[in-house]
Amino acid sequence: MSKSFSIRHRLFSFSTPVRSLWSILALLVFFLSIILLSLCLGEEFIALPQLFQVLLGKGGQAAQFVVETLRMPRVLMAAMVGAALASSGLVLQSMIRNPLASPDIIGITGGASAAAVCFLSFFATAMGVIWLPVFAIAGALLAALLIYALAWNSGVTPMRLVLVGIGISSAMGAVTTFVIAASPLSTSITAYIWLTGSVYGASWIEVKALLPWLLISWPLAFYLARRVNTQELGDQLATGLGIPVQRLRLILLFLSVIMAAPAIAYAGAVGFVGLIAPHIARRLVVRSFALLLPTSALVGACLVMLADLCGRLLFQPLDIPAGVFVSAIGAPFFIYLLYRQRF
Amino acid sequence: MSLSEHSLVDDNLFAQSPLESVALSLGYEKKTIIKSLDLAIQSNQITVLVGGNGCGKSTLLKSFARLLKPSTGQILLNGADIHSLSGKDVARKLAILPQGPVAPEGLTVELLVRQGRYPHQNWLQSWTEDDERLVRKALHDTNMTEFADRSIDALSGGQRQRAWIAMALAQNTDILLLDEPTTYLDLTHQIEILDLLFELNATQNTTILMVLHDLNLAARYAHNMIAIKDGAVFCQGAPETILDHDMVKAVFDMECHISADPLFGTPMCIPYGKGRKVDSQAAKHV
Repeated sequence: MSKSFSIRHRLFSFSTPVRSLWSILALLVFFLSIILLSLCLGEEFIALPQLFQVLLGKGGQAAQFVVETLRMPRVLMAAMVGAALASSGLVLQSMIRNPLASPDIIGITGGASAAAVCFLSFFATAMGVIWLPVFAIAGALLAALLIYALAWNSGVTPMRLVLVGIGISSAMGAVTTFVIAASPLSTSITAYIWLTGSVYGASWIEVKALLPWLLISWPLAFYLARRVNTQELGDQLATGLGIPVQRLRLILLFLSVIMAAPAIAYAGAVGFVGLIAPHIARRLVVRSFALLLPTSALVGACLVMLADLCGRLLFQPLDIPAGVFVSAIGAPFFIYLLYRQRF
Repeated sequence: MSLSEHSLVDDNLFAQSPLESVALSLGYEKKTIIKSLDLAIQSNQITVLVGGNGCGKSTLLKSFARLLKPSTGQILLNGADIHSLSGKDVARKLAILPQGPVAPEGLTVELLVRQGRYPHQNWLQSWTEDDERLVRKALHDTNMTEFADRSIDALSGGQRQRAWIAMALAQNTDILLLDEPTTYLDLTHQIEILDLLFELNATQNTTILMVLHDLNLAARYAHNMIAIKDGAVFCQGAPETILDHDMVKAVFDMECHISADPLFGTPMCIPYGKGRKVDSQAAKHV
């Protein structure tokens, strides 16, 4: 048997493979270095020693402003958005037992997008943009409810859920396109940038608005971890092991929505992270949900942070939305991983 | 408590059935498959369900494992309605291995077998010494220790089935249900799996209920055979007392010759039908 790290106590016990812990630790170091890199690089370069001065609050007014007000919230936002979407994708893939699921494929992102675009076209001027996230989250929840209700046939099966989700996703896409086409040009451009997904101009207010969602959804996901592992063995075995499969499935769908929807609401419809991050994670740690969750989240965070960094740096002074580069970075890396692992 | 004392006495005197159905009817949507069935599985024995395709034996097995809700009637697990118990309660007493289970891609044998401990764990106690010990034992008993770190998809059919059985063993239950555990395996591995189950029953008194397609192997390993026809029990008893020409004719609608297994003495069913006829003197085994 492989080496395990185990803790045994009268009240508390667990065991986890050592190799996976090292992978997570390495990923964590990578994650922190990207944060530092993102804080240093930009139109104004801030060297590492100076950055530490800034972090201690002694960096001078200009540098302090660049790091604290411009770069820090933006990089944190990118990290949280990536982590949230990746976690949501992992939850969906585990629930559906199919590696081709993600919030953007089964219609959750689609619901949020349609709601957001409708809001931008019809309500934004009257209500103020501050309400956009509320609409986007409501749209995602509504889409998920619709998918669940339509897939219901004395219980839902994963395959039905995916197929109905794909249907809902394309219907939402049609709504989104129609509303954009029917709107005035200025609204269309705003809507289009939102759809690509961007953390441009992220502020501490948005960071503080997104964080609580993660603080709720993440512990819940960890709490459900063992159940998720077991339900991946199939409905019959999971039921045989004492899992209420249908109830768990509904909870997991809801969990994936409260993970993805707020991130989409604040950063727009960043695609691909939810699909690819869990796959990369599975190649780094053993197949256990409690290990895959932090790994996927870190991978997702790194992907979006790197994408945003590229968008910020490569075409200065243009600021390209992070959503563009997520696929540009993620896809080749993913293909490289698949290529390396073939035998 | 008088109730538990009573049941203890019952256990000792009559070996009360750990698993029985009372006036059980089962069906999918509008189709009734099992109608008003009373059936008691005998404690500490190997019971095999046999019957033609679509006779309802798999459906019956699923309902015994709480995977299917009866349309009417009850399944009693140690005397209690199985649907009144919590899923985990049932899973600590009864393990089910369904037909042709599929493991998630890349899952290792050890991680699979660990899943068997789920009903015994809670959030804080997710890996106790008992868990560790029973997983090691399950791997050892199924000869899977050396494959513990292998991915399930990289195993042969026989090894894979042993891994699943190891998971069910790790569940450490008194009752084990299996739906066609030997399907898709070659003869060597069929015998290997059935020997393993026979051994388990002999050493740990596990009550085993399974569906098997091979009548001859069923007759060899089962203490008790239940023949199902059209959703009802056609006959039940020790294979040597019930397996004869008329029974096979009625249950499988097939003519056959029954003779004694030269090694085990259990009844062996040789079907009539077409085939080559050779001079038995010329055969190699003589």
